[in-house]
Amino acid sequence: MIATESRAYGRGVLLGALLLATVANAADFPRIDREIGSVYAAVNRYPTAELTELTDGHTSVVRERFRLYAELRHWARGADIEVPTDARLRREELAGLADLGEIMSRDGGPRLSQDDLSTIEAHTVATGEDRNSGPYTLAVVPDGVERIIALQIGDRLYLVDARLLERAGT
Amino acid sequence: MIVEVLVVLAFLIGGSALAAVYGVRGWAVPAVGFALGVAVHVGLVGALTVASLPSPPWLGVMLTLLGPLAWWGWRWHQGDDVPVAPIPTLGVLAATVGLVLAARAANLVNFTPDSFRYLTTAGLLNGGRLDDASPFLLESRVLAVPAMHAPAGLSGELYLRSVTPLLALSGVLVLVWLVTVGLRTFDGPPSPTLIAVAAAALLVTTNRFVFHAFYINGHGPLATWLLILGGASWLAVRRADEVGGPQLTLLQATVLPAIVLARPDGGVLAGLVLLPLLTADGVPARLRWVGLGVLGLTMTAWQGFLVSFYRSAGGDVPFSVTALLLVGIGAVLGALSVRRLGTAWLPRRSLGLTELVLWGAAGVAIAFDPQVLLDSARATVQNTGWEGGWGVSLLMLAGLAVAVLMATDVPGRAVLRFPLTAFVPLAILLAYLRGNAYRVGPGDSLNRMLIHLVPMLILFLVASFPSERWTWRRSDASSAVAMPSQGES
Repeated sequence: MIATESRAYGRGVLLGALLLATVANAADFPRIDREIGSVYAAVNRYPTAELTELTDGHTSVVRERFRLYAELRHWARGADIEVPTDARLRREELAGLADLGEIMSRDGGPRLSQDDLSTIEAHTVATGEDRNSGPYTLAVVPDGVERIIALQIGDRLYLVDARLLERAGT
Repeated sequence: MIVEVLVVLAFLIGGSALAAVYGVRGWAVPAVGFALGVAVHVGLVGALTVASLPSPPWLGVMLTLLGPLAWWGWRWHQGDDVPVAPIPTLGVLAATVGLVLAARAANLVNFTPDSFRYLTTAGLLNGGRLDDASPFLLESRVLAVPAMHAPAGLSGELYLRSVTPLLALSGVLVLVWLVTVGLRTFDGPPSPTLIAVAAAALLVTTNRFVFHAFYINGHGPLATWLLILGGASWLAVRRADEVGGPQLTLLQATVLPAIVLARPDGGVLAGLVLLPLLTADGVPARLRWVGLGVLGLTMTAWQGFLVSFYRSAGGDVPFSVTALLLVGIGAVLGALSVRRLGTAWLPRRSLGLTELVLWGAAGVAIAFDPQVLLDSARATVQNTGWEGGWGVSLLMLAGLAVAVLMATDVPGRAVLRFPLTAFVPLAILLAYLRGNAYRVGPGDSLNRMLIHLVPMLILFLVASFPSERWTWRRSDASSAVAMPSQGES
C-alpha cells in the first residue's frame, strides 16, 4: 500500500516537474530570442530566398565570406570564369554556391587600359570586400553573361564580363 | 515550388512505405516515415558518391520513392500485413502539401556561415561537381544536409525551405510514438498518451530545439535520427518488438548511414547509442550486431572515400579521418565477432568500463593541457545558462535527469542513459582533438552539439515512469518489488 502510494506520488511529481519545465521554457522563450541576437534567435524570417539578399542581411562574417559568390550567382550564373593562378577565389564556392560553369586557370591576363576601366566602372553591378580576395568589383552586361574574366589589379579583384573587354578592344 | 512539393512528397511516401514494411502502424507511419525517407535519400546519395557514380538530385529522390514503394508492393502482393488507409493517406498528403506551401511562404530559416558551406556542397552535388570540393569541405560538412537540399537546384533554388522544419516536426512525432509504444504496457496514471504529450511539449518549448528546427545545419536532423536509433534500442528492452511490433533492427539500419553522414561526430555518437545493446538483457541477437555492422561499414566507406579524396588532392590525410576510419573498421570487426561469438564473453560492466576509458583518456589530455578544460568548462557553464540560448532548459533537464537516476530504477534504462553520460567525457576529448577550448556564445560547437541528445534525454526522463521505486534510498525499493536483473542501469 505504502509502495503504491509512493509510486503514485513519485509519478505525479515527475509529471508535474515536466509540465513546470515546459511552462518555464515557454516563459523564457521570448526573452532568449530578444537577448541572443538575430542570427541565433529561434525564429528568423527572411523576405526572400535570394542568396544576395540573405548574405546582405546577415553578419559581416557572412558578407565577407559569401557575398562575392552570391553576386556571381545572381549576375553570372552558369557562365564560365577565367581565374588568374594567383587569385584567391575559392573554387568550391565558384562551382557550388555561385553555380558558375567551367573554371579555367591562367597565368597573367589582359592589361586594362583607361578605356577598359571606364567601361568597367560604367557597368559595375557590385563592389565589396571579400575576406580571401580583398576588395572586388563585378562588372557585367546584365543577361546573357557567358564568360567572366577575373583580373587582379593591385589589391583589387575585377570580375568582368568578357563582352565588356571585347567591347573596349582589349 | 512544384519541385519542393514533389521532393518532400517523395521523401514522405517512400519513407512511409518503409515504415509500414517495418511494422509501424497508424498515425505514426508518416511521422516516422518522413524521417526515414530523408535518411534513405541521404544514404543513397552517400552510396552513389562513395562508389564514384553520378548522383544527380533527381536520381536520389526517385530511388527514395520507388525503392521502398516496390518493397511495400512486393510485401502487399505476398499478402503480408502492410496496411494503407486511403482517406487518412490522402489527408496526410494534402496536409504535407499545405505545410510545404506554408513553409515556403514564411521562409523561416536560420543561417550561420556554416550553413552556406553546407549549401556550397549542395550546389556541387546538384551540378555533379563534387570533384571541385576541397577535402576539408567534405570532411567537415559531410553529405547529409547537402543531399537534403541539393534537389532545390532542380528548380534553380538554393535550399528547400520546408525539409528541415518538417524533419524537426517528424522528430517530435517520433518522440510521441516511441513513448506511446514503449509505455504501452504501463497502466499509469499518468496515461502513456499524457506522458507522450508532456514530453513533446517540453521538447517544442525548448528555444534551441526551435532554433535547430529551422537551422540549415546537421544538428537538427542528427538529433531526430539519433532519437530513432536510441528509441529503437529502448523499445527493444521494453519488448515492444515482439509479435506485431516494429522491426527495430531495420529501423536502426536505415537511419545509421544518415547519422554517419550528418556530422563528422555522428558515427561516434551512434557508437555510444549502440554500445548498450551489447550487454542489454533480452534483446534479439541480430539487434546487437546489425546496427554495429551498418555503422562500421558506413564509417569505413565514408572515411575511406575521404582518404582517397585527400590523397588525390595531394594533401596529407588528417588524423581525425584516419582515426574514424579505424573506428569504422573496429565496428565491423566487432559486429562480426558479436555475430559469431555472441556477447557472453563481454564483461558484464562493459558500459562502466567504456566510460572509465573515456574519462581516463580525457584525464590524460587534461593533464597535458589543463587550460583547454578550464576555458571549456567556463564557457560551457555560461552557455548552458544564458549565453548559449538555452535559458533554463538544460539546467532543468539535467536536474531532472539526476533526480530520476537517483530516485527510480528502470530495467534496461542504460540504453538511454549511457549515451548521455558518456557524452560528457567525449565532449572533453573532442575539445582536445580539435585543439581549441569551447567558447562562450550560441555558435560554439559544443553548445550546438548539445541538441543532438536533448530529445533522447527527454525520452530518458519519461522512460522512468514505470519505475517501481520512487525513493532516494535504494534499499526501500527491494521491499516494494523485486527487480529483474537487466545488467547496468
